[in-house]
Amino acid sequence: MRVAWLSLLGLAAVVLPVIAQAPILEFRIAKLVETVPQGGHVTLALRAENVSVYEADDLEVLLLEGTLALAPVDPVSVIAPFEVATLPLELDVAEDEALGPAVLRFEVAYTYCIGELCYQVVETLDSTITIGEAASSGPDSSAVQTAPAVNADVPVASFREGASVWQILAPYFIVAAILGAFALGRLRKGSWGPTALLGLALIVSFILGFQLRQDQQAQSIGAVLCTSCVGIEEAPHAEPTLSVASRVVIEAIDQPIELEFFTAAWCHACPFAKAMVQQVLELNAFISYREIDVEVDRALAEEAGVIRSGRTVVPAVVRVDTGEIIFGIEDLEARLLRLLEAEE
Amino acid sequence: MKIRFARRMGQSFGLILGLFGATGIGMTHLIFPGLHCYACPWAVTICPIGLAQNLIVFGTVPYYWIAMIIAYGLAAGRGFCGWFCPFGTLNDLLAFRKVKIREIVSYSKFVVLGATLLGAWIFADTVFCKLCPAASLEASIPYLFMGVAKVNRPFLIHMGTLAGTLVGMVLIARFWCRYLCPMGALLSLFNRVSFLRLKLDTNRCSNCGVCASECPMGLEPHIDYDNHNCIKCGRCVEGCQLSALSLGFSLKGKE
Repeated sequence: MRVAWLSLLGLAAVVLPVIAQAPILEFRIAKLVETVPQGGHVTLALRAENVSVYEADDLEVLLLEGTLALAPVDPVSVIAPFEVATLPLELDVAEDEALGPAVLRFEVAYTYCIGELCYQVVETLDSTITIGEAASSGPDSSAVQTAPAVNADVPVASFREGASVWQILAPYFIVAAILGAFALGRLRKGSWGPTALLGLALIVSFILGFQLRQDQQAQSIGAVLCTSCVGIEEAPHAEPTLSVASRVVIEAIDQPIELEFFTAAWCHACPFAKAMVQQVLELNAFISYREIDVEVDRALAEEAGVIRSGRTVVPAVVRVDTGEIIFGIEDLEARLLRLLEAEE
Repeated sequence: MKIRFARRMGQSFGLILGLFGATGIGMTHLIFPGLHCYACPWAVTICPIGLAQNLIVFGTVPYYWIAMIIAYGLAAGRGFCGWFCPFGTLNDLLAFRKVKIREIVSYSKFVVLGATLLGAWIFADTVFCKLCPAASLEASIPYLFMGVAKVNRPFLIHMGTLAGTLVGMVLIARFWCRYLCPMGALLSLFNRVSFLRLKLDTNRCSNCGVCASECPMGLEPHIDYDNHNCIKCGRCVEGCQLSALSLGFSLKGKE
């Protein structure tokens, strides 16, 4: 009975990573106008938000159905984790296009990799636009946001280019050895088999782990404290907005201020902090900033003092001249204001 | 007496290793053989559960992690819970009511482990860490005093889980280790093949059940000395007047 369960688990361990991956981009089509005249031109905005920690690659858009003509869309090569990409979709309406609602069906395709496994995702997005008389009045200025009906296809898995056979097969061997050890432990008690199999799995794992420098990866995970990861604060994925009062204060700053922003690739709270710092930058040209990945440049983090008892804390904003530091994103707007207002 | 002293030494060593960062050395490459938060300001070792979640988020096939878990599992299995883990030591200090374990319920550890790994996969985040009572004690509270953490919702959630676990520990000896610890679940898989093991000499055993009354995990060593929940603490060995039970290393699997 237990052996049956174990084999089922083993099968799941092999099959699940291949089939169970989900799309990582969320799409929205924004329309500035609802009605387009015959022979006219319309631009739709396709907003693609990466809601995962993986990088989405080579996003392409095609028009599958619809009588309108879609100008070629430049593919987006990379959408970083939690980033948003906006693609303009330029559509031309023919002079003799039928009046009334026109159905548009787009196909979007992209790829992403998790470890050695890569996935291709193909989705179709539906949207409609109304075709009006050629002589009809000017464009409707009401901004309408439509969430497109999404038809997702199952992602297709393949192996990352350049992965060696040894690296592809080793995980299956390790899983088999571990499951075999437990099964053998049940079937033939007191034998050397389980110990030997586990020892073998241990050796293979150690060799591969060190080969792939996973001990260093583990160390660097431990050496960085991301404030949202262990639940010191929550990580909102929404866009921050500065209040009017804050904007006035920031715009009034008349001396150069240099900021350093410390971040890490997997930090969930960092994009929020980064977006807010960037909004501040847009308001006042006196303020400049530099983004530093603490994994790449630990020495700089040490210099700036964003290390607390041997652990780099991200996200962190440092004002270079005063050396003042803000950690985390809780109540960030108020703290950022205090940081900027402080006298040298 | 001897076992107890050795065990206290082991637990002290675990605590010292857990807080070794107080000496000023930074994070090492070592994975801790127990549940000890790597976000603890004085940690020099990596939490195996926290690391597992992070590696799932990164999509890394965790060879190094697997190797370390097998190494610890083969060495002592759940022996680390009884002899090393600082959070286990806290459980130990609050072990007043050694009630009998509910065998079926104890599999809830595996549900916690599964949910932890699955949660990391689905949400691409370290979900367990946000609830972990060890993190509450070892990270949230110290960072509150260091000015990095604030009293906010995640902090209060941490305090809630810590308070709940502490109450559980007082009411049921080693409550966390018995029913909830995901690291305990991982190590318990290796309990029957590990080198450190509990042995029973059935010829000497009179079935008096003193060992069962001594067991902080609520097991019955005189009936089932090779239980997957056994933390090999040796309380039963000390309690047994007939010296039927013993704790020792042997390389071969269960006889």
